[in-house]
Amino acid sequence: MNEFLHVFIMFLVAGGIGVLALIVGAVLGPKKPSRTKLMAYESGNDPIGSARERFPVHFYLVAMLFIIFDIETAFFYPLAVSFNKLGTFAFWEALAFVVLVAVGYFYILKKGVLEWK
Amino acid sequence: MESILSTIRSFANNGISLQQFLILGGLLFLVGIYGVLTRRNLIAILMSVEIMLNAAMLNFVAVSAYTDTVNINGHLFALFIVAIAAAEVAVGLAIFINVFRSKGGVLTDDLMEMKQ
Amino acid sequence: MNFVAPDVNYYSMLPFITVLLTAVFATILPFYVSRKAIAGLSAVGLLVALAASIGLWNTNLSSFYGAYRSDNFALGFGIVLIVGALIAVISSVDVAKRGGTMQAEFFAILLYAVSGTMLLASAHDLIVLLIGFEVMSLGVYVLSSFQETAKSEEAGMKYFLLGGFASAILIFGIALVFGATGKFGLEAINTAVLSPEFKNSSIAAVGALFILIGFGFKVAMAPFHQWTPDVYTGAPTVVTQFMSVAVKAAAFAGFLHIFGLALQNVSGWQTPLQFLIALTLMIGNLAALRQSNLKRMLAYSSVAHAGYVGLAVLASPSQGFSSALYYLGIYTLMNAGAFAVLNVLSKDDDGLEIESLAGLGSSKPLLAATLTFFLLSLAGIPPLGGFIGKYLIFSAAASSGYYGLVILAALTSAVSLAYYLRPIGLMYFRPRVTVLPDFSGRSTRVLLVVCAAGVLILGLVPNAVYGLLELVKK
Repeated sequence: MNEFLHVFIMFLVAGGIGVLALIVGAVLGPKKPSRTKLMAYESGNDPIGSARERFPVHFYLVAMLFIIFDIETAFFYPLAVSFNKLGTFAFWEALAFVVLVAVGYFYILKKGVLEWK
Repeated sequence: MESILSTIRSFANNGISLQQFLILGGLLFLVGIYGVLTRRNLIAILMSVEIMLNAAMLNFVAVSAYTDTVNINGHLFALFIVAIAAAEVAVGLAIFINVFRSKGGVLTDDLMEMKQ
Repeated sequence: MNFVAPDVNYYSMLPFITVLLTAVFATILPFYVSRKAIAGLSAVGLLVALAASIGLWNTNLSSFYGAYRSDNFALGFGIVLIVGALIAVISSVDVAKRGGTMQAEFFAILLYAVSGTMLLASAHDLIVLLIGFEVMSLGVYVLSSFQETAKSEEAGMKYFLLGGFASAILIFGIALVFGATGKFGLEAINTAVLSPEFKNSSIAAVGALFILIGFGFKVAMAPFHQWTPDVYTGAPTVVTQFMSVAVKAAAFAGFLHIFGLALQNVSGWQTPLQFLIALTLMIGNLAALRQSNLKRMLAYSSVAHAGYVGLAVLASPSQGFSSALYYLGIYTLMNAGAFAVLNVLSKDDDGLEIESLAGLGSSKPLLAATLTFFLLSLAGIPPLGGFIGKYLIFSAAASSGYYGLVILAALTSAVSLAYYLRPIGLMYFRPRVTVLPDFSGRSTRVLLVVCAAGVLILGLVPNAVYGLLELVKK
């Protein structure tokens, strides 16, 4: 039973963070309800109307960046699995990898790709 | 990772042979080639290329799980193929968007200007 | 749990790391400094990498348990690749002069592609080799669609689709070879093939054929050359210059490594490769005869040259490796030089009608003289470098017994004289018809003279350099 205690604590912490985020958001966030904001959430689309809309090209750009950064994190899974065995060497190598990814992130940030007009 | 490996290895105990995996990989590869050769929409061609990559990936993982019980080289290669495929899709979509902006379509027929 | 730190020797990867770091800085710095400064930074980074490659000569260091080796083969190819990239960087300065736009990202992507080519030349493991191959390819796909013209977009699109198709075939071939041998290391594959209990020779042979197709696409061997004329014509001239020398050289480095080291004892790929070479020689040279555009003619000529270097893949590795490297070194100087002249003479990236070269000999003597030099060398006229390169490759192939192909190569090489000499005749023996612009800056003129001198020196005193390359032998 004891080994499940960790899992239980993790559930508590994870759930707690979620609940906490909602409460903090509700208490501290500014509330200016409008028609658009109160609509049912449809990932940014109009919930009523044709589903075959044309997306702005900008959407594809962000989707593309998502693919890249999403896949890069896949390289961390093998690292996480064997991190105990690899020690500090793997840490520095992973850091170099993160720096290279960060260079790409810096570039898109500076280019203004993430600014949604 | 280990549980995935043991899952694949359990296929071997249930009478599924490496050959069957490789045949599936080969068929998937042929599906991809068929798609590349017959499709005229550039996105569909890109998807077919991805299917070909997946076929290769299946072969790597199956061979690695069945024959090499010590190393996980084949799995590693599969991981790199995932990354390569993602980078390829990103570059491809960027070029597609460019073509779409100037030509208004992404069919291969739109790209015949230089044909002689 | 005892852990032994992996075998990583950063010193052995010095040229590669230099190029990669320069690329990283070229990614970030355009937000703060001018485009010209980035060009200077790229040139300096490449020169440092060049010095590092020369400094590592004969050290035979390796890293990652032999997956990355900076032996003389890799360093020699590295030097050729860096020189090719340097020529492209210098030529790109002229593009701004003629009013073309060359965004600052050009240098970053170019340098990333160069790092990929260097990885490809140093790889002794199929994983590393494939990563280098893809980094190079992805960079060049973007570069070839760099201009916002319909032709450039079409070129990038075609290159991307066919290149992606080819690399998928290559990866499937690697999967089959891995399935047959269970190894990724090039030497380990050969050992597995030679071991008495090796049973999967037919799978390995099919895998070798797939890999042959993949590399055939990348080096533009007929019948997989279809993309070449369109992509080379549509891409910006500077990018075509880089593609036709560095990408080709790097792809041949991987080609030689895979077939000369890993699969040399696998049967079944030699005969198809002979057909490919024969077809490449004939199609490349005959199609070049019919071209009226200088850029397109040079595109077909580079297809033909892929056929010549292909002979070195067939030859035994001891002779093939060094002769291919020597040839590609000279080819880089003469072909990139010819493209540099084309770049400064044309007002956009559409190339130049050959007819319009008439009378150039008297109006622009330096450009005409260097272009003559490069074209004569490409044709293989003694005593220029192109002749020695061809001689070395032909003799390497002949000593492995491929007499028929060598005779065919010599015959088609004689045919090639027709299209290489025609621009020269026009330049010197015809009156001027059209007034061509001249966008050459001082750096480009120096570059052209240096390239021409290099071609001449490599032709006149081949022993000085080829003696060094003897060390490339495996």
